[in-house]
Amino acid sequence: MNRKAYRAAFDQVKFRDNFQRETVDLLLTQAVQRQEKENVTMNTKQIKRMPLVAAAVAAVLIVSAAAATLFLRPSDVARQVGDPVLAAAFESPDATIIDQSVESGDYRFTFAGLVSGAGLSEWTSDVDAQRTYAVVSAQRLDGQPMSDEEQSGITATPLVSGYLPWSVNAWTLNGGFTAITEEGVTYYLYEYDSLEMFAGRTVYLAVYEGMSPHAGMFDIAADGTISYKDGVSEPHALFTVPLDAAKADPAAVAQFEADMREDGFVLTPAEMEAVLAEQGGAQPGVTVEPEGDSSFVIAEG
Amino acid sequence: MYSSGTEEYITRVVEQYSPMLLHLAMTRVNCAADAEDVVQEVFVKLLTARPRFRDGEHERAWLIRATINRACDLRRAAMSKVLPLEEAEEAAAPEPETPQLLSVVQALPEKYSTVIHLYYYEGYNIWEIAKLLGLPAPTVGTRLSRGRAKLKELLKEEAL
Repeated sequence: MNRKAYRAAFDQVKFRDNFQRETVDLLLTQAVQRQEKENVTMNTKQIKRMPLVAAAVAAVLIVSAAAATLFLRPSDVARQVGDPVLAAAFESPDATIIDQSVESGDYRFTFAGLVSGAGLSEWTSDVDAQRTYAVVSAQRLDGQPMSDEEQSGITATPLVSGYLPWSVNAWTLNGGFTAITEEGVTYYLYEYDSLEMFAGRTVYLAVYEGMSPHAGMFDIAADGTISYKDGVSEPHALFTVPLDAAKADPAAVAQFEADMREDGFVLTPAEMEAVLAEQGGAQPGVTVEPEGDSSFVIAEG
Repeated sequence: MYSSGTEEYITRVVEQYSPMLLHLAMTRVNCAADAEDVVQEVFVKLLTARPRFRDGEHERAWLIRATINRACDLRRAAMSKVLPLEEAEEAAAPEPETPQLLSVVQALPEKYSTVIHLYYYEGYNIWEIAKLLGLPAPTVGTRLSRGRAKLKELLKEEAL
């Protein structure tokens, strides 16, 4: 098969001549409707929130400019990105509100919360699959709003102890995100394949400035524990994701590992040794799980 | 840079990306009308979610991913629908106007069809596809190689 034959087959498909014009008209109409709706929502929100702000001011008396920022809750973030079903899930008892912050470099990173469930979002890549949704925020410590460049430079990826960070991460877990900025704070709504299946291991949420995780950024201890390397200069934070160990799903993990092998996310023992050597030489206790002639799993213990 | 929601922005993204996304959607759905629905929904999602993009490449990657996901969802929903027998027979009958190669690409698992399509139709190389899909380049290479083999196998079967 060549490109010419392939293109010819697809070029035979006839789309509506006026598809682009109709689409532009549809989007313009929806943009106007949404703007009208947002105006109403914003007014309502201000009215709703006033008592909360007033109560806080009364209790504390002095509120600094930074502390006066009213952070969005995970459900608010989901609602703002247009996902009411997910917003309701974040308000349900199944959600875990974490609200932990780490200051690094010029930023404060906050892991606000997470929830897992099937079919929560119409945009999941698999309606039957379980997905995990996490809300993370980033704000500048100097009170300046996050710039567009800063907003798009932050990554939040799950990592799992016992697995190489560049094998199990947001990319290999079919991750995606939506970002919104309010009052200078950027909120990221991330979604990944369900993290609950890994509940038998330590699951992390690594937040940092950069793209996919790489060997120069993380250390892996003999027991599989993951940490940032000393001297990582980019702003970074590592949170532990609280998961119910009872929800661990070894069968799903086995399937995930099989898919990873099928998809080529596999290191040969020689590659694995090279990776470990790059980490600083001998790593007693770290072994490659035998799995045919290749593996990407580091055994724990 | 345009603000999302303005006529200039909407016109630009629709004109720039529609042809690519419509053909990409056709790797997963069976008819042009479904592909058009998928792409319109993706554009609506773009304007609703208002994701921030680092650059044009990031924007393109987002749209490609969203189109594949939406098309897969539509396909899955269509396959899981319980049809009355008569309709099921009609649905099962191949569309005569669907070129053989197209229907074979549609029969491939998504992980192969997307890489094959971006390579053969859009002319991206392995490294560009890796960036667009957020995959390591060796993984794209593996998928391309396995996808080609499966395509060849299916084309042979069709020919019999």
